[in-house]
Amino acid sequence: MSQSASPTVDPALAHAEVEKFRSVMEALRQEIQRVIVGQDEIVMGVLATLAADGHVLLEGVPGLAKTLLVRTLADTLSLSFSRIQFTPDLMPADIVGTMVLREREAGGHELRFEEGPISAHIVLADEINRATPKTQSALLEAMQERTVTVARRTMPLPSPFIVLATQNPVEQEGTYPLPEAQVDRFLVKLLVGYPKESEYHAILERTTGQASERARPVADGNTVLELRRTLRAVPVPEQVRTLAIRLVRATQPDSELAPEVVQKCVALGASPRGAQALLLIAKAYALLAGRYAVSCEDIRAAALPVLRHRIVLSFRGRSERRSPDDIVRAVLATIPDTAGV
Amino acid sequence: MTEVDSNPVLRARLLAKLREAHTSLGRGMRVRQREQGLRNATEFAAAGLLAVLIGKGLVTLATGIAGPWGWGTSLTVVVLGAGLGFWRAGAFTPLPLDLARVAELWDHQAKPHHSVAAALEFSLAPQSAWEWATVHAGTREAETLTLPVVPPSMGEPPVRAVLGGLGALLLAILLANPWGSPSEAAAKSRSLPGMTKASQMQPVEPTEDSGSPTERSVPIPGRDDPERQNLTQATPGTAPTDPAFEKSPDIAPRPGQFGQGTVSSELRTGMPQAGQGDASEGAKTLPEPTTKKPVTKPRKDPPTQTRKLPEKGKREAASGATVGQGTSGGGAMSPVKSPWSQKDQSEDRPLAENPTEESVDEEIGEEEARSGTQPATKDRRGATSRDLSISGPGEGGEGRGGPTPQKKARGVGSLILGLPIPDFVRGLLNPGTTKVTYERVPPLPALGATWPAAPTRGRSRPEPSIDLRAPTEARKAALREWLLKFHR
Repeated sequence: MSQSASPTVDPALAHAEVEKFRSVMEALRQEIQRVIVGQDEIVMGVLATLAADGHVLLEGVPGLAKTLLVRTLADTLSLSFSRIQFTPDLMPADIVGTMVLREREAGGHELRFEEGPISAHIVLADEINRATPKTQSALLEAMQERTVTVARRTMPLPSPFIVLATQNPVEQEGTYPLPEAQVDRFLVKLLVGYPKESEYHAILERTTGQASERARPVADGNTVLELRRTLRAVPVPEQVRTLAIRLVRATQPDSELAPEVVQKCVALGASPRGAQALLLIAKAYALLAGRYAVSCEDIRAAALPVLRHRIVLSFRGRSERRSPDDIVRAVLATIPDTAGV
Repeated sequence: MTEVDSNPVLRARLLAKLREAHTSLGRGMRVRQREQGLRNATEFAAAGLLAVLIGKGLVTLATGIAGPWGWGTSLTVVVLGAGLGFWRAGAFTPLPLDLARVAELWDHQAKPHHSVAAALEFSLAPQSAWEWATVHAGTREAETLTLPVVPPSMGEPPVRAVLGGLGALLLAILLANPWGSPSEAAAKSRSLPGMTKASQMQPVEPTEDSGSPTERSVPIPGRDDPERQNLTQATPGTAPTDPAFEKSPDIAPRPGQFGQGTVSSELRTGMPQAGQGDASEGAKTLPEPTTKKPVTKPRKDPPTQTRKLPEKGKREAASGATVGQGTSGGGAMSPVKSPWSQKDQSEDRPLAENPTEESVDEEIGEEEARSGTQPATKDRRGATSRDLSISGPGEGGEGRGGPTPQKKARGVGSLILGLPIPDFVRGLLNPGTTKVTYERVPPLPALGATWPAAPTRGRSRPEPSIDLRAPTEARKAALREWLLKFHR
């Protein structure tokens, strides 16, 4: 290291940014873990999606602290939070807002826009599959363009904006599956599982006593936006980008890369939006691991949460009781790294 | 990260380290190739030797001849298997190793914290602080970590190894030829006790249509000459009939014959059967059977259910539109007037092509005997539609009974007689799924080789009677349980 030169950019800057990213994420994680016991992967997945400027779909049976996790995340960030309980009679206007006729002080009436609960930094869409597809679709524009349009007026939503939706996979009577276009807008789908036995002790101790823990804010909106800028700056080597593309293409049944199980059991594969999501989450994972560039293992680690909800099984796949996770695992086993190793 | 090296220096250091790894990897590949060749040779030779031993054992079991066996075949197979193993190892093409691939292998095997391949890529022209940082970190790790000298896989996954072994086994079995040549077998048979020499057999003048033994053993389709059947018919109890030869298409049994496979098996194997002498001679001296079993002719079989039907019943059975009789006998005409059935069962098709239309065939024969003046198809109409639509007066005239009420779906479990199964019409494929995806699946041709067309003949045995008894309660319960599980 004796021979010094004058590089265009100092690599120490990248090092500092990585360390800052990791410290903020670690602070958020520790604060959330004061309330949520276990579920490390879920917590890190939510935080990675927050940094990647995406939305999260949490799926799990009742009682696994999905809603509590979202509320706790809102507590750790000094951001506005709103919760929408999705019900079958919920209407789009109940989400995005509506024009209300109001009386002027000077006399007369005027139409004014009354904001809906979507106008918040962190939106919890609880039991999202209980509303009709018409109401679910009210989130489409908000989630993709970060705007809402009411009565020919398009209004931007606050930034940062993140939607965290929950749904449970067992109670399907009277529910409406999310449309493919809606599901595709979630960056990741995280499956919340049961805690371990050791974690049950901590859960019961924390929740059945007199004192209840509550998370404190450790970051604000500007910090989140800074995290997002850092994440976007992470470079992706050609080999890694190629792997992401090949993985996404392998989920498409018409692709020549698709393994046999995909050709037989998949009706619809991931789209280019899936490849974008794959790279964004992989960048977050690389930063969390202290790396300056994305590696193939980051892509593989991101494949399951990113691709599982973008795969639509065919009739044969359903009849053979395949799950999208099986498909993604088969794709991961089939597609090697670019080196063929 | 305080001192920063220039890009050329960093790249040179990285390339030097990668070249060093490249050298060690190439050496490791050659070592692995040799090891693979040795392992292949051992496995293939062992498989070949095993096949020879199994083949000899099978021959001993089948014929009672326990040897002595020569070692020539075994040694041939062992040497051939070893050679094949080395040849397969030599066919491995080691992966071309350039420096980029070495860097990727480094990442794959050593799993450094920072990617060496990314460092190599960005070292060409780093654009940002992130790329600089990647180059620095990757170079530093490449210098501190040691690449494990494990060359990349040379394309020998387990499946291919198993296939290679099976191929070698098959080849070994073919080469082993445990049955030997006919002359060798005949020579060995002379030394065995209880065997009749060929010279002791009485020569028999060949019959006028007797050709080569092979020709005689092959039945000619369409001929029902009883003399020919008697010629090819062997004495019952002379030797057990080999089921494998019975299934062979070129020596298929003829109707009403039993045990005629003996001659064929002799001719095919060249091995003498006990008490029959030489194979070739045995084929020529086909003795008259002492006790002839009654030859059952298909035409004289007990009349099946279809033939018991009266004239009206024949027409109904032919149309497949019987009421209350089910469709067990099948119909010559399509029961459903749909595009698929029209493609498969056309009404204008020649009736004689279908072997199941014997009754119609006989009817045509009778009409021809009466100068062919009376058309036999005067009452034929389109089959009754069983489409799931209301048969209204607009359509009209379809089926002999006129407009019929709406047909019900068939084929559900609840229609099995005596089975109280509820209809599971839920619209759900799995529990917990409310969405049903419909797909239009075009019919695909079946994979595999197509069967050549061949003339059909009558059955060699009487048609089995259909058991129309109601199932027992135990069967009903078992079937119901199975159906319920299936629906769940």
